[in-house]
Amino acid sequence: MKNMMKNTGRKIKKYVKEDPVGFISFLMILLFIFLAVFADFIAPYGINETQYMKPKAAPSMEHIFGTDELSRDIFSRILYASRISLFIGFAPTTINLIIGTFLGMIAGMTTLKWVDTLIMRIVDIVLSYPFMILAMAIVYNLGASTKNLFLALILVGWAGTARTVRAQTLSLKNSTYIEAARSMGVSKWKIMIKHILPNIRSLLLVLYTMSIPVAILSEAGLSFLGFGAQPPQTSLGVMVSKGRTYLFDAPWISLAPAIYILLLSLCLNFFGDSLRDMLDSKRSER
Amino acid sequence: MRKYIAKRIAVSVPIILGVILITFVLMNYIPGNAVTAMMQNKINNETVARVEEEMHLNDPILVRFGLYIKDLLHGDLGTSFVMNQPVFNLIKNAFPNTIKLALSAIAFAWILGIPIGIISALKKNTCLDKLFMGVSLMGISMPTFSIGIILQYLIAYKLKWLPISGFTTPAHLILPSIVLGWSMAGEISRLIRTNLIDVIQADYITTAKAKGKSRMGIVIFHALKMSILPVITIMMMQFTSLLGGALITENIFSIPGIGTLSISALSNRDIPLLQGTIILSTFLIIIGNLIADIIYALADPRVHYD
Amino acid sequence: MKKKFLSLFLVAALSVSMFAGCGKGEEKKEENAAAKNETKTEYVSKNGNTMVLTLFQNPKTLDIQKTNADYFIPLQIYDRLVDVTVNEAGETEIIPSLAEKWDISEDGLTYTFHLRKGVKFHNGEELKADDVLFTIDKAVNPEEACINAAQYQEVKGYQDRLDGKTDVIEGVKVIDDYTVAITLSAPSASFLANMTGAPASIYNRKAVEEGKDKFGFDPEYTVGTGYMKFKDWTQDQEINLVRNDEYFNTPAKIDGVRYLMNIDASTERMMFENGELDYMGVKADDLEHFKNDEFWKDYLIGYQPPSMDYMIFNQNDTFMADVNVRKAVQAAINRDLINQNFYNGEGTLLNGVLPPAIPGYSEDQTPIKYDVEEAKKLLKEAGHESDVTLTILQNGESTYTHPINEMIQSMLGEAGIKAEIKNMDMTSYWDTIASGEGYSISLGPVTADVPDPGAFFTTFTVENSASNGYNIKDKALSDKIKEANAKLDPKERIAALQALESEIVTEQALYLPIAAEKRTCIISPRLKNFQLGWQGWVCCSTHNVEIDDSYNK
Repeated sequence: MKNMMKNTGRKIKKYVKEDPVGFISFLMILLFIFLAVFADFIAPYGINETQYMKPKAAPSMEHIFGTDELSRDIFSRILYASRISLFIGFAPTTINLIIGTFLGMIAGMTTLKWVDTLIMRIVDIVLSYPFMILAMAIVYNLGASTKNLFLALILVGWAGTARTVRAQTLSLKNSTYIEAARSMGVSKWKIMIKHILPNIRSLLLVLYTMSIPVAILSEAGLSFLGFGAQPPQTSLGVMVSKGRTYLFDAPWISLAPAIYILLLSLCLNFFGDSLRDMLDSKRSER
Repeated sequence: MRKYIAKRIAVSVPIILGVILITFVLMNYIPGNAVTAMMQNKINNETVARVEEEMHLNDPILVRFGLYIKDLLHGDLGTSFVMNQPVFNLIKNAFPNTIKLALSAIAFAWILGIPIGIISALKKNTCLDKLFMGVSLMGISMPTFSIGIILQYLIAYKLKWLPISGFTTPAHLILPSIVLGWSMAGEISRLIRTNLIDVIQADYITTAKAKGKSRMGIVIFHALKMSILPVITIMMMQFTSLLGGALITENIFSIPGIGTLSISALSNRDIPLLQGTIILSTFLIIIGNLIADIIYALADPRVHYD
Repeated sequence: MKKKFLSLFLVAALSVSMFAGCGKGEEKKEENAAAKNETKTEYVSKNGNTMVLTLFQNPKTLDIQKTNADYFIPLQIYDRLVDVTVNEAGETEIIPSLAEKWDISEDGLTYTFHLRKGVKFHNGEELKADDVLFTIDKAVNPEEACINAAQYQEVKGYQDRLDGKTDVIEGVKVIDDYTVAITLSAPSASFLANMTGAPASIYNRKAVEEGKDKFGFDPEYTVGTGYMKFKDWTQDQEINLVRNDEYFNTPAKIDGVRYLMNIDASTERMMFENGELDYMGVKADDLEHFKNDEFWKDYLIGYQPPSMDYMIFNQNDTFMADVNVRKAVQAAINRDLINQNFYNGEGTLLNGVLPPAIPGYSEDQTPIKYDVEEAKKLLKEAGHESDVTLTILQNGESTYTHPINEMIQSMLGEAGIKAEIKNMDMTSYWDTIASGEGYSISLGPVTADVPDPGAFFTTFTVENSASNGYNIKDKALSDKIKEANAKLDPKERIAALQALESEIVTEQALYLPIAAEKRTCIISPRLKNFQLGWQGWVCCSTHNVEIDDSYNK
């Protein structure tokens, strides 16, 4: 036990030494999550707290990122908004990963040609439909809300993962040890869970970390076109896009959340890259 | 080879049919239709009912789908509900603008992305690598519209170097191309970096190194050749998805391209026009994927047509 | 190793500097303003003798019988039988246009219009009485499927023609080439005023019949008699108009008008300041900036358009069907605060039905008081102490309403009313309003397009309110409104309508008028003789405006 801890400690030390940017990004991500979760205790003001007295005030000691058009504290709103953005970043992505992996493995492993064809044609349709138009049409149908945005991101997001996982499954399927397992009569489901899944684990992890910033930015894009979180809630994308009306005279309203997105997304991307580098080098060590 | 292409084209037929059907279904349940879109604040239920009848908007969805497919088989994309012109003409007017934008954006992405990717891979984990990656990742880490508006504000409005918006001279192309190209450059440089690192570590490169060729030479002659394949695929996909219209960038810079057309079709509930733009971009994506696969197959004999 | 930390530091520094950059916005702006003052006196425009404007929406078609997306271009390329002007007393007045003069029969049913002779359409055809007949008949021809057919609903035979029972509308008769008689199904005090609206534009039979589907898009067939001719239309990009030198009245002074489309609000401001546009409506948020600018402050024009922001109360909603809840909502909303925050405190709070500048507008109304305690009391009386939940419907494209809705949401919250904002794209929004389901209240603007009070009242009748979102069930009130509106003597009619205002606003609390915003626009220094239309529309200025050559490059 003690040995293992020592070992882990050494590993972390090695990681920090080899890739400080990745490590710091990781810490930053934890910090972002911490700030979002404990926004109630950290934020100096409430999300909609306002006396309507100082609209569009410049950053000051009282309001470090200034105030918006309704005199609300932007820093506090960013913390609350990051909850929705992180939720949109993590939740649909997680579900997409599960659905995509599951369907991708089935399509790759199945002996029934039509199942594979059916799944892959649906994947093709989803991937070739213009994403923004599809997401907008879904939100137009269901109304603008975080929930419906979430649904739209799931309906279109799983397909990419399914395609990649299928390709990986196909190439693994012919590897010697899986063929051996199959000839021994191990069930397909068992092969999928015991053999394929562990093998594509690192790929999935990389896909996952890279999809999170993409989801956060898709949310921002849809907010620009008018379909993000609705008040009293807010998200970073909504703040950026609503603030652009005041870009000339009160640039902080739009820029502060934009930079917050930038930092969040940069950290996620750096961490994802570093994770991949790490997994790649591990693989080559093997 | 020919058989392979024929097979791929055959496969694309159900995809296009599926896409058309999805559009019909989505538009069927969306609130409002072409009549309410035209009436706006003067909306009146009696008039809406009357004009819907006159425009046959209330026919069952399968009837409309059937009629649409029938026209499509005759090469007719239909007539726009709202603008009363053949959809084909509307797309024909908008498409060249989108092509121009896509070409210049992709050029920018390559000029920025490829060298950054190569240098970052060679100087892996150095300060330069991280800085370069940071710059190219900024393109994919910030909302497109933020980049667009900030560039517009600084370069066009404050410095007056370039026009703010519109689409009449080549200078109008520069800012939107940077906005679009930046995020693509991010993807490209990242991919080149990863692939190049993989290849550099491969045995034959190490051998070549041991034999004492210059470092730069190795990269250019061996590594790049090996690592460029997946990059080509991604670049092809980026290009075709751009041809389907860059909604947000076109919106910010007032570019009359396919993106603008499809957004206005959606907001006007102009089903024939929307179908036209979606079929176009689906078709382009299919073709793009096909070309990418063919290049891939030609360049790498290990890939089989499957 | 150190290098790596250096790189991290760089990233951090970059982000810090960006933050700092936005923090310094205020100071920078002042420096810039100072710098600008020197450069801006060299205002130059590359637009020559053409006025350049933006269009809020793509017009979709220039056949104004088929769209409500844009009235501005049709107002310039076509003419109506009659026109509006504002007299010295500031009152609107109906004046001759294509009709030189008109007689009204004693029973008030028949209007005989005597057309001006020698008026030419842009295709060279002369205006004849038959063109008037053709135009009106086209609007109500069921094969045409015109959405603005109701423009002529007062004309005799309107419904029969629309239902396809007749081949031509009964109420329009050509007497000779220059005389046309229009018979109404009932006397109407607002008929003439309605004929000044853009959808009443007169077309040329030959051009429309030859053009068929091209009418409204192709300049060859899209012709009117107006002082501007339609020149070309580049899809989603621009529409060009050129001066009609053969205009029957004084021709325009400028060579033409270029309309740019799909221009984002922030882009518009940059383009205007760079001399690429000649006119811009100044949003309340931007006003301070231009007022403080040494150069631009002289080019601001303040005006009071006949428009207002108001709130629809949907009586199909179970809560809003209760008059006490409606009164509670009226009392819970602090309109003063809205005025301070969104109209720079310069808006006129309204307590009646009419916006300023519309005949019959009066300031002597019982004020609607803001009183949260009163609101809570009313809710208690209604038996809804804390269970009222309302849906605020929001038009996604009408972005200025979004922060106001957020404010209203929290104001209602203080009175114990939970409110949810439902944002929709424009088309879904209007569709939902017309369907009358799924929302309780909605904030929006209204601008009069004809100088007549009638429509502001008839909107509260049972029939009309089923389409415009109120869904009012009170038949008795409906009859009273119709009776008052049908009076022929203008003074009597206005008095009768005014007598109903307090019942509509105070006693029944059918809606909540918010305020008439005092608007501001800004024009480029090169414009001379600039005069907005009576509705505050810039399209009407293009007839008399002149462009000062010295600013052109």
